[in-house]
Amino acid sequence: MRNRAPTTAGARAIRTIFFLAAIGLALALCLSPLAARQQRPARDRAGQVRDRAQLRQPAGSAGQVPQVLRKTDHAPEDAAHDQRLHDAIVKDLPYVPGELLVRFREEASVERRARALRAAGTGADTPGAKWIGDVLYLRDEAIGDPEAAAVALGRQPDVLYAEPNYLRRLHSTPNDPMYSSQKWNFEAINVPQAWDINAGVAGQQSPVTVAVIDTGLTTTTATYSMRIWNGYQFRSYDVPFAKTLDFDHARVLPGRDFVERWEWVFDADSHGTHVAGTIAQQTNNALGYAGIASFVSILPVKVCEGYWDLQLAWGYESYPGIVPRTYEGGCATADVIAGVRWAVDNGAKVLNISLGSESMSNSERDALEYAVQNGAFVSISGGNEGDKGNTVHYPAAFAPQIEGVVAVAAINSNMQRATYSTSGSHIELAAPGGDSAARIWQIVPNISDLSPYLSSPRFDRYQGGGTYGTSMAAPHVAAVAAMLHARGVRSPAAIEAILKLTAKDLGPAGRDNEYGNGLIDARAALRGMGVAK
Amino acid sequence: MRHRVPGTLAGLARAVVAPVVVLLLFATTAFAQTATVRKEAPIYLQPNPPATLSPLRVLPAGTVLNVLDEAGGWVQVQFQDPQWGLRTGWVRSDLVTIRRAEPQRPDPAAKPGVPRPGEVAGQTPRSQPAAAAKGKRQPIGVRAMAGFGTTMFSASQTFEAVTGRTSREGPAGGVEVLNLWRHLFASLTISQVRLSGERVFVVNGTIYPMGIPDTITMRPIDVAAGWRLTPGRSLKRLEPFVGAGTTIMSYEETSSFAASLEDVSTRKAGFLVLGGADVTVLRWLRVGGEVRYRMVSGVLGSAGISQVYGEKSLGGVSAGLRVSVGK
Repeated sequence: MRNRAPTTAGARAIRTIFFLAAIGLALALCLSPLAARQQRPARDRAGQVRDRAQLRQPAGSAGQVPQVLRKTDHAPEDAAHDQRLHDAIVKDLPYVPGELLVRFREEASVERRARALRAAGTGADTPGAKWIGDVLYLRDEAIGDPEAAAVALGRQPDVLYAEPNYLRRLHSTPNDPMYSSQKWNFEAINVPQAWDINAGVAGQQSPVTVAVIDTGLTTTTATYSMRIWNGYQFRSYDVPFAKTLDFDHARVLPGRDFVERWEWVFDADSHGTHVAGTIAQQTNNALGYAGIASFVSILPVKVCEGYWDLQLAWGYESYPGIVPRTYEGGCATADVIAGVRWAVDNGAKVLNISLGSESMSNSERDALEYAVQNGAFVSISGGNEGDKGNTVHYPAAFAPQIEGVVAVAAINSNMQRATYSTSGSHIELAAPGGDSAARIWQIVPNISDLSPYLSSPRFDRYQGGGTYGTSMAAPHVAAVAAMLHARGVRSPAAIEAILKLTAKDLGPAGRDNEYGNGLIDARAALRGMGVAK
Repeated sequence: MRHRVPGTLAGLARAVVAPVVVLLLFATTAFAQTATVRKEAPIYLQPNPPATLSPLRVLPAGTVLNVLDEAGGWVQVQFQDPQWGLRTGWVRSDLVTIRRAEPQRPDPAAKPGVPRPGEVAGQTPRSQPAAAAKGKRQPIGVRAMAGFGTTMFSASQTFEAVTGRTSREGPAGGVEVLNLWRHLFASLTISQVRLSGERVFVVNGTIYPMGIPDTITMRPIDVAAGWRLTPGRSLKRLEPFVGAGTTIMSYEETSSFAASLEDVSTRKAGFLVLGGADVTVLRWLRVGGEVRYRMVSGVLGSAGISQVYGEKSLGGVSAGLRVSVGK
């Protein structure tokens, strides 16, 4: 019996293998045209280095029954807002229709405030209205065109300002998994030498919290069943999520999703992971990518959404449609200001905001002032309009008015302003942002897993991604600011002053519109000054 | 009517002098005071003699006598009579100048007022300051000096920010050459001040220490010329002096995590004034105090915290005690 058992098992195994192989072959023949259609564009973008780029495929949650991902808050007015927001970003509108941000004069009574709102055809008691700090966020279809409503409200004597819920864009180009030097940006600002100085801070018990106001950072490893419109019907797909192993997740705080209000934060775009990576990625990963201040705690604050955020949200709303594949992400100012205030209220001492657009938002300036008043330094990308008309973007343009908030220009690996980097009087500092020739590299979700050409995405695989933009420059500054904070410089204004003081002057002598006070120098910023030098 | 040097300094000096003198067994303790004859003075056997009495001897001006006693405008002195040897008599006090005796070598022949055989009572000893005052040339003297003092930095805000102090103690040493011409002296002094602190940032008046050790060493080499003032008749042990010159300041500042050329090591010349006073304790030993002010530009003010505060002068006021040996 014992001797014959292997024979029987062997025969059974061979039969099984043949059977499975036949099925597999048949499936492959049937599905290959479809697979080719879906995969080819992704492969084109990914290039031949994709396999080298592949990093880890976490075991994840294979075998578990996928759950349904929920939203924390989904009242009818929230759902209505989601539809308006998604519609606005798909149509590339400058704001979300039917929404307003209003700040009243402090002395205005409740009655006078209500009267003012009636002028705009709405009221503070509408279901969609809520307070973000001292700003009233109105979400009401009756508002109609928010620009006209904002003008009408702004004329009211009791209204300090009223403005539409503007849409911001991310300040970077899409990721591209191509390899090149991934160290030039750290060397440019003397990060390795700063690490020598900062060695003692790494083990701090209460690390500095850095909030990344962005597209999020995946904080859970799980697989969820999600509905996705495939062009003619909704289908449920198992969408796996995984935390990147290149973060010390003991130092990644839960964060919060202000856009879609999913119950936990994930990054369906890669922008937020990239930015967070520059700040705090661990150095012990296979590709040698690193974060500048890996000792900090990262607070992912999701205020922007990318292609799959939107597509998944539509599925959740049962909205049949496919997001335009050119869509590159958007963020509403109402979410930005709520995110900034929430981050500050939750202990963030450094904030990174790598987004913007040309509309000036008073409520955003108020949120930045709130951050600084509560001891948080803010680094904002200076804008990527340098070769597109050089339009000045907000919130970066507020930076010179607020000590403790800086607008950051991008330099390339030749230590020159990247051509896309917006120049102007708002630029205060420069940091590496890269360009198409030499990018900024971080671990990001697999680009091919996020391709808009896929029928369903996956967020559980990571690779090295090279990107460029002022979005990439700002987190360099945020990370050095966090290092300064860890070494006892708590005042945001002092952090700004020290970064400017120790910056390496580039371009014309002294401050200029291309580089501000110059390229930040992490080592000089941490080293302090002696008597004579 | 015993003559006293007024002032605490003299008291202090005497307190130091007394035991030292006792230790020197050979010191002529019996003759604590001498009298120098100012103009031709008759010596009598007793004070207040009748006008008819002739003096024992008439002494020429400049003769130095040992004082034994004083009473009612008369001084009892011991003098060397060429005919009778050592004798005692009285002289009117307005004809002599009384001063405390210098400690003397145990050469009986050199004792004041005790002229060598064959010599009419006393000739002025060569090394007396009085001789210099009369324009007689003093031999060139050399003194070695050691001291310890405190420097109060001109760049006080800068030093306060980096080191937490506005002043620092340090040793000094040097050489003085005296009587180059009359009371002109030249001195060469080397001192050192070393401070340690940490590198900082100063933003809007707030100091942010960055925890990186920073050590500063200043070694000024002072080359000065000066004048020793003629002491007042009543302060003959005190030698005040003033001077000016140049200081060659060597300045080093080192700190952790410095890249090449970031540590400072430089030497700059500056300006120096000094003043002070020595008190003679023994013939070859003086203690004193002095104050120096140094001003050195070119080191501070162009970078670092000194630039933040706009403090350009390295140096400051140094005050200290000094002991000098030699004559």
